[in-house]
Amino acid sequence: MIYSRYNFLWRSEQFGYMIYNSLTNCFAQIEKDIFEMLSNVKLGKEINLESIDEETLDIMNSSKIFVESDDDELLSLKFKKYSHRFNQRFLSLTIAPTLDCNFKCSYCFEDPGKKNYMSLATENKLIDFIKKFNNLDFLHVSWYGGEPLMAEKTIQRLTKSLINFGLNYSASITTNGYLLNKKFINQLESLRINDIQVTIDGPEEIHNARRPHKNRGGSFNTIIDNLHNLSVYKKDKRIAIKVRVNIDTTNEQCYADIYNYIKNIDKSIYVYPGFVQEVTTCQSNSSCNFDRFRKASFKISNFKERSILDEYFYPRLSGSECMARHINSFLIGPEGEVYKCWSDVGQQERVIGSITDDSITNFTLMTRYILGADPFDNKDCKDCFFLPICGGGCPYFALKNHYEDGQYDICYIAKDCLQEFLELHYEKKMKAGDNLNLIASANKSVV
Amino acid sequence: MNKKKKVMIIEKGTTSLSRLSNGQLSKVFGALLPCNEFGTCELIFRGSCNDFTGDCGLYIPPKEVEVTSC
Repeated sequence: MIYSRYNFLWRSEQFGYMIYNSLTNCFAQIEKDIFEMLSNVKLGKEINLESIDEETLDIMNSSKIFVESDDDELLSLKFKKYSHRFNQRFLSLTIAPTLDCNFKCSYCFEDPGKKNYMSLATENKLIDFIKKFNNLDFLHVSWYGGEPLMAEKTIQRLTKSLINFGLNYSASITTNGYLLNKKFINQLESLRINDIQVTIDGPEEIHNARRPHKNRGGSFNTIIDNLHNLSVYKKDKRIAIKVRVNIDTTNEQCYADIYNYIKNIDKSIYVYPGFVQEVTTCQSNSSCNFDRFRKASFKISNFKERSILDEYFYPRLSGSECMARHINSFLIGPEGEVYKCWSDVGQQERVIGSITDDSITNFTLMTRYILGADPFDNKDCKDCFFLPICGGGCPYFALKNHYEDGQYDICYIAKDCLQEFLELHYEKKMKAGDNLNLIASANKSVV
Repeated sequence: MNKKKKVMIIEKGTTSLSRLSNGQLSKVFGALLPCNEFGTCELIFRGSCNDFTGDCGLYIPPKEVEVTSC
């Protein structure tokens, strides 16, 4: 039995002795004598099992604070990830029924010249394509674009056919929200859409400057009206509404304003920052991007200074794989072209194949996405405490780094401030009234 | 008198790895699909983009993760 390298042990100035394990995502407060014992074990002293009471030892084992071998734990992690990566019982399709869009956003990475819509023939080819997958239990569709609601009829027709496969079916949609009107909202149930993402970039003036309608100018009020209607509709339904606020250096100060504005519409709407990243010319360390440290401090400031109390700090294990890595996940464009990643949409050189003639045209890119730049082949990642959390980071940028000399930082944002994040999480739980003060009070005298 | 706890769990974390090693063979090969509170499989999300490390526009609300498996 050894002390796991996935342990993070520290003495908090405020809260006493703590331990966190990134493999199990377990977080505990411990007594001083346990802290001292663990500190010694960490330094190489043998674990004296007889000195540990049974309950404590059980926790140490189940939380993987003590393990037989870290290498075996890494193998378990790899096994879990690969099980997801090569899972063929699940088909996940992102369908862009059009690349046309009714907005002209200042930072959009898609080509505004593309206005093609999926034809009936391509819709039929898509159904034929799905029929070729055997032994499926689950089918999920993410409607994407362009603006998918500009191709509402395609969504309706395809959904009808997709439901007829008789699989466990669910759908989500990423939309700018402008056409998310009452008429479409009333179809959500029949379209099986239970997850909706809308983007709003700030209060009215800022949003309208960044995300104007192509012909009608400001889009803010229409989207807000639609969110009100959606909120009323979802009252008795299991449906997730997420509002992404694209953040860069020019609008970060208004995040709290729009956050509070939307929360006043409906507290259950998830509002979160999406950091705008230039994917063509800029690197992570360029001035146009938020680097990891700035993202972390943005979250901390939201909580401490901007009173966004539900800002979340607790690490989340990377349980599954990104669609880019998953063997049965594809993005289908309006011409039937196939991509592995959303960031590739509309770029001919990033197309991996076509459903219209069932061809793979870029086998290299496909295998790179699935197997290339693999964190389990990278010594730094394999040795990293954070691998269970980040899972190796975004594959799109991992490929950029590995094959194109990119310098993108794809590490977990709290890599350099884990202690602060964990203590903020603890503080939030304390404030929320969780019964966590048992040892905290006991430890007050020692800190 | 109650015995004083030496360790107090703040977050118990996941047990999925333990479950894998506890012999649920049918769950191991291809069947382990984490799903969220909305019944949507987590696989659809770009799971590697936790906490906005990537360019992805998707987001898994914190409470949804590691709820159960399908």
